[in-house]
Amino acid sequence: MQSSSQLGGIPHECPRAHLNIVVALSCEAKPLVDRLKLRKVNGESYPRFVGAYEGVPVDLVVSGIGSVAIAAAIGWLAAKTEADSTAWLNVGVAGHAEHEIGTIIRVVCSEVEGSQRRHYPPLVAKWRGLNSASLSSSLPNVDYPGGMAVDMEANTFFTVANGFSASECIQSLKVISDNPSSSIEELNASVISKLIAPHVDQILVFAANVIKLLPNKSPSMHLPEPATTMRRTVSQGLQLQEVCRRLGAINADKELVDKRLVGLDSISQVIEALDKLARSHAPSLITQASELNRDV
Amino acid sequence: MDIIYIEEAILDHPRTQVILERFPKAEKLLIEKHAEVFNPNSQNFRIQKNNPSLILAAKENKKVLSTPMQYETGGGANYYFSHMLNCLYDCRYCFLQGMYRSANYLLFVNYEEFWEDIQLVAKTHANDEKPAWFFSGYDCDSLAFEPVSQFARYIVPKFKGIPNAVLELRTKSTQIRSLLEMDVVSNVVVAYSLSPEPVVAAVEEGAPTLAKRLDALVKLQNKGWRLGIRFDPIIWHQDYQKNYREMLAQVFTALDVNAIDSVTIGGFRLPKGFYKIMRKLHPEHWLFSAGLSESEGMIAYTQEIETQMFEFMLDQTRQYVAEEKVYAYPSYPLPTTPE
Repeated sequence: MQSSSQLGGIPHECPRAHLNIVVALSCEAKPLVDRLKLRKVNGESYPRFVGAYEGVPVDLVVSGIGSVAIAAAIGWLAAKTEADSTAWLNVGVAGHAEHEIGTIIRVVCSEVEGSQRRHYPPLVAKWRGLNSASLSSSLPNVDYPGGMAVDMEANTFFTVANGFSASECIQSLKVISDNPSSSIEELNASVISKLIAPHVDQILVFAANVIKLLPNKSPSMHLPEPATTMRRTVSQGLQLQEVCRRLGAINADKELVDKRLVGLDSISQVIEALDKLARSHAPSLITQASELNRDV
Repeated sequence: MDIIYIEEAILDHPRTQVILERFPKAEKLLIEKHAEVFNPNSQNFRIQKNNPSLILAAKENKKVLSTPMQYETGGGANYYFSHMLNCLYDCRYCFLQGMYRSANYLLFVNYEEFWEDIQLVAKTHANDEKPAWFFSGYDCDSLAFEPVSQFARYIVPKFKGIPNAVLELRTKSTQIRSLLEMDVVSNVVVAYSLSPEPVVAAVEEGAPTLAKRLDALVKLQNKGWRLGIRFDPIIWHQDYQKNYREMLAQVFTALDVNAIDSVTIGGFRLPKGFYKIMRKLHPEHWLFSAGLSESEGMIAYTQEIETQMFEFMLDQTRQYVAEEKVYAYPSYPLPTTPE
């Protein structure tokens, strides 16, 4: 692909990390929106709230109930998210055969009703609470299979969000809203908000632990002076970016880099010279930040 | 260990129970097959290294496999087996990062079946001139998890029964209590991967220092174990000659050189696919950006750099160790010395 842009192939800077929270119902969102003081964005396809937590931009989206709704909402939100790496958190209510109402669980295995397909979210982030498997069904389920939560979105949440982030950073927390000794009919928006509210601190601590796992973005690079004004194709831009990353990683001396480029007048010559330098420059074992690790 | 996944089929295995007792606070989660947890694609090895889980499973299918090229130290046929996948250490050059999506420790508890397969393979080489060599430590460190796995305690004494075979335990670990407590088995070699202290500090995260490895080596040698020394991979950097020279002096002063079984020297080389994954996991790391080139689907140091390093290492090593005990595994043919 050709580009007439002088900065072809050099991507613009993105925010480093992002937290996307997906809930099915507005009443599930309310305690989180209130605590994080999220601001509603008007005129969007989905109810969307934005703000920040621990210095990281947060998006909270209310998807609607069921697997199709949450799949569509995740795709929509992913398209809007400008970040190098994103944590995804699904928060909601679920039924459970054994746990008391108001208990919060982390989903450690997610199955979909009528299928052998199971998803095990990698459990890397610290969680100080109970764990449970979850069975996602297409309709409200009051059969309460033993040892599992029952919900309507978790399995699809994992499946779809896995397309956008590392699975360690995709987690689901459920607050038990019903069990065999209570009726699902007793649930309403107010009750659901009140069930979730006492757990907001715990949810946010967990969210912070997941955010901590997000991979750092690649080191940003200094673009050697003569190269900044040379015309290049997208492909050459990417090659230049990659060789600059290598030189940054090996802590190559900036003056040495600039010296190698004296008299070169095309981008292909610059790339070749930098590549040769990267191959021949022995790195120091001192892992200090490179002179070259400055933003383009 | 926060989380232990256990295959349902081996929940009642006595070894599973002993291991679980060591981790009373861990959350135990039953699974049908380890592949459900270990294999999914969207996992990130680097993130999982922050807090790996343990998976206890049974190894099915073939347990003993032929080694890749250049994995031999003077034996006849060469095989490897892996009772565990992944390592407690986090060496930046380790190919496991490129091979597996998951950094979880996958321990196969059916040691008895490994032993059955080893015996069967050894039998096919009963009449060979040289012993069949069985390497442990290809997909994990052979000893690092020993306090939990007790694998060496199980497998090492068994080799007394197959004298036409040699077991090589490849390790960086100081977990040698099992070996110090048992009788020496003459057809078992404990092979240590060694690097200069600055290289250990820079790229062998979590692994014992060179000094600690040397201390373990001395104890094993004093006990009478056969030892192998592995300078593999040798890492190119600004002071490599000084650092490797000092290390060689340290190693061969501390040990009785005549009692060393073999010394091998290997370069930093990876299949291209693994390299690409590892570089993506650690884009900021110098190791994946310095002096490398591609040749026939493998990434290694350029021929000029690698040849210079091998010539240096061979020259230095031969000052301490008899030539016939030194094996070099370069990616490119080394120039022959003029007569």
